[in-house]
Amino acid sequence: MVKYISSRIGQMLVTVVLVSFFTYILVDIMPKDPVYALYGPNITQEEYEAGYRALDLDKPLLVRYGMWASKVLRGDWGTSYKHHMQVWKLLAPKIAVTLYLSVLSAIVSFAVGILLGAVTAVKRGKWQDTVLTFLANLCASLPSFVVALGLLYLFCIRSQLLPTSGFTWPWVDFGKHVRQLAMPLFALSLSGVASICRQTRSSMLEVIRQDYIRTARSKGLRERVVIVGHVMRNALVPVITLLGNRLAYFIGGAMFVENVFSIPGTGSLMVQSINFMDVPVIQAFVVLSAVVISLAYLVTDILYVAVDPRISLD
Amino acid sequence: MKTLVRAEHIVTTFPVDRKRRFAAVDGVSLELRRGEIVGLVGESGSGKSVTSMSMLQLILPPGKVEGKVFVDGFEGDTLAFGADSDQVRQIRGGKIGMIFQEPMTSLDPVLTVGRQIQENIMTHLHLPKAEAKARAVEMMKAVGIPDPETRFGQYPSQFSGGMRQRIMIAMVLAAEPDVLIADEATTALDVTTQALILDLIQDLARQRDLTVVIVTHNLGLIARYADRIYVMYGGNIVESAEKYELFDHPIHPYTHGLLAAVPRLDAGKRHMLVPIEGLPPNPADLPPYCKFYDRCPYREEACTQGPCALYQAGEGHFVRCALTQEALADKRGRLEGVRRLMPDKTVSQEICLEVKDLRMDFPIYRGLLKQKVGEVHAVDGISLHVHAGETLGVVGESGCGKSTLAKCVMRALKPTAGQILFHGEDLGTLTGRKLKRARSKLSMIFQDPFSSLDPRQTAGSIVGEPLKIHGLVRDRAQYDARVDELLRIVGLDPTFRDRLPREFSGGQRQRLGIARALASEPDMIVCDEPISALDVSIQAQVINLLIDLQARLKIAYLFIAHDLSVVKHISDRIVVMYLGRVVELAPAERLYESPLHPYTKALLSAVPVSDPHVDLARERIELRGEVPSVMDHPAGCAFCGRCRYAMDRCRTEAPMLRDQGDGRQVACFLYEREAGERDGREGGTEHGEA
Repeated sequence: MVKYISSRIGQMLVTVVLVSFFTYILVDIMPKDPVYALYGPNITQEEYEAGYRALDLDKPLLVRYGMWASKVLRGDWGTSYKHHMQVWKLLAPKIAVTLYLSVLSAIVSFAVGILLGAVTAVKRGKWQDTVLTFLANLCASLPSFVVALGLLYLFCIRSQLLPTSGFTWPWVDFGKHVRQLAMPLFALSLSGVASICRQTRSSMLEVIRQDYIRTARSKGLRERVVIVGHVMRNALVPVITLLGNRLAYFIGGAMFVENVFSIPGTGSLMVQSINFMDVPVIQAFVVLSAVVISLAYLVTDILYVAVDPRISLD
Repeated sequence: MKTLVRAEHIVTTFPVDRKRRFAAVDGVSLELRRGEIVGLVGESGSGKSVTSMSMLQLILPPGKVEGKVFVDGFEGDTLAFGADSDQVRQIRGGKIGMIFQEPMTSLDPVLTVGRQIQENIMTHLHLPKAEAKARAVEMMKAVGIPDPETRFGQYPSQFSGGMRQRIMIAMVLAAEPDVLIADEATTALDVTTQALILDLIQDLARQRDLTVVIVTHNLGLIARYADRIYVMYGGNIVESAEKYELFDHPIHPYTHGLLAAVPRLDAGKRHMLVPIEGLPPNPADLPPYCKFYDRCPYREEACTQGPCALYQAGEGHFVRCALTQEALADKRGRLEGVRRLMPDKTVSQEICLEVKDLRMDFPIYRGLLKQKVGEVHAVDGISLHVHAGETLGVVGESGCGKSTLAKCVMRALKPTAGQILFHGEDLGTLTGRKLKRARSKLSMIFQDPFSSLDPRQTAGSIVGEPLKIHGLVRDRAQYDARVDELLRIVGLDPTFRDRLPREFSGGQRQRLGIARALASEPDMIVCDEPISALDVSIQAQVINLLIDLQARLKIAYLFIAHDLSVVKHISDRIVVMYLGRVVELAPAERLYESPLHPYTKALLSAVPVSDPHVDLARERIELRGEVPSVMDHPAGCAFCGRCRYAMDRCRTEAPMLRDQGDGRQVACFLYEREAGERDGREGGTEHGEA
């Protein structure tokens, strides 16, 4: 197990290094002069050359990458072209919000999706199954920002039950936090719930037909024990593998939803940064996303091995 | 004897469409008494498994069970309680335990075997967890699992098929049921493992005064293990009696048919098998009268007058037939005596196929970079030859390399070393056009008639394809004529040529496979388990067809199968393989009469004969352990770990195949001395080469 995890972490580091290298090349590819971008267009030739050297632009690409990477490892991502502040200071609070929203959304999607999926599988062919499966098929194909706009119309414009925008951490004001978060979380999780519900249903129906479920029934176990102890245990293996995939999807989806609800996450910052070609911010964001998503896949793989003893670690 | 379970008129139906339902079990009544072993025998679709599952209410909706089931210790009809009621759950597992066919899929793969056994104990005996664990370990020991404490925490994938079936037995018996139902529990296992498992069940049943139901299609198993037998056909019990009564005085035409259709190890080779004509019944489309009517040689107008009742033909002997015992006996007298003799065939001295020191190694790759860490010697130096027009049988248990041998002969695999001479040309080195020409004279019949035919190809095109590939016909008319002829040769109606494989039954599909193999007028056909996927009554039809074709067309067969009775019936000479080597080679009759190699002896003794008197009289040889994995090939004789005669020499040195005279060869040091006396002192040098 330790050998497996360390080899997977090794693979993950290779991925991150490659991603970071390609993001770094962005500086050279982008049609924007980093010196002017940083110090403004109204500088003298001397000032320009001093800035050019300060940014180490006179050195070869690989050397620059090495220097950049070693700074990044110490937490120094450079200075934002637009906001003229440390990228890390700019990004950290926003990343926290986006991660919070995506992880929460992943938890909600998996919990609710698996539960509903189990219900539809157990009640196969009954009305509960028909209704839930229909809704799941419908919701799985709805983009999250469409849901967000619909919610805004219903709960803010028509009834004014919930605040339209903003974000407050739960330890600041829990009630406000819940009211503000309800709609974004719902919008972001709905399609996740739907697709995990569908995945769980088909996976459980597959498992229910297996010989070992007949064996479990022939032992005289309660139906509930058969479903939870045997069917679910086996059916969740393929569902769990969706975790990494889903988390990546939520991080992407969060940006749309943040924009709709004016949540100070990375979403709006990213859009601004791309428009402004704020390269250091984009670099930091892409590399950090790669790290988070790689971590999610790593956790998925470890979970996979942990829940399915048939997968050998050799 | 006390009756433990009594089922009355069970009818189990499944929906065909919205309106119609079909009865997979149609009015079965049976009883199980304390301490007896009951055989429930029938072919696929006979309803034998559905019957046992109905008694336990394991039939899931939309299936429906009607009738009454009374279980000792429970008031009233247990079917009335409902499938998920407390009482029925107590019966399931607690009173009646069940073992299923597929050991590979019947255990939950993500839970440790220990936990699965423990779960059963805790449900029914209400023991605390620690005690349940102790009991589970004890049960694992009782069913012969070495090192049970360690194995308790392992997962099913870490056990072999035979070991998993032992785990199932331990699991079921741990809850102390009174009845054990073994539903085709050993069908998927090797013969020697099958014998070990059933002997174990028999011993445990005697120790614990357990009632056992053996559900099987194998008459031999019933003859060896059962006390009382129910014969099922098309959802009905057609005959039931004590074992000796049933085998000595079978009455129902189906029972008769079944007994004549199965090749027996002890039977001579003069007669053909008597197949039951027609197709096995389709449960979704059964007549309201006798289900066997269509295939019954005794049928009369009266049979169609409605369902026939069960009548008593002797003490404890019941028969379901419209004809009386006397009428049946009378008809039998007139129909019998027409048993066909085997057709004469000519085996020439010309050698058709010769395999010399064939080796096939497969590399094993491990790790991230897929490094080669070793080799599996699937075929480890085999030499044999087949004369033109002869049948050479190859037997052995799973992993012995018999299928790899077939693939090498077909050049589906390129052998690692050795020669495969077909009419003197080495197939191993042939390429291009020469290989193609050789292949037209060498064809193959496959095991599974369901997956070995292209589902989108018509019957005519399946059979005619080799004609086109090898350019054997000049024009369309000739092609059509040849396809029709081939279909007729294998007993299929040429008008079926536009049908797709799924429109044929299993037996008919295998006939298509045979017709395809015959298309290029081969000199030799490699038959890899050609009948093991077929029903007993259909097997006889296909075996007879193969024998007739050989006599007519003078084809040589390399006949590979795990069923020794079938191999013996069809083969002239037999090769016995074990872990990639030939351990014995002998003429078929002689191999059965006086096997030499300890493995051959054990293998033959493990195969039950479908006559209880004969079977009882045969010597039984207990074989230790299971077939080892090809991965850990012992240094000396491959069989030494399980051999009761193993000497020190066997563990360090592999015996060579030696001639014993009269056409037999054996690889065993027990026969070394006699061989040594005959061949002088060359023995020592040969070992050096090995």
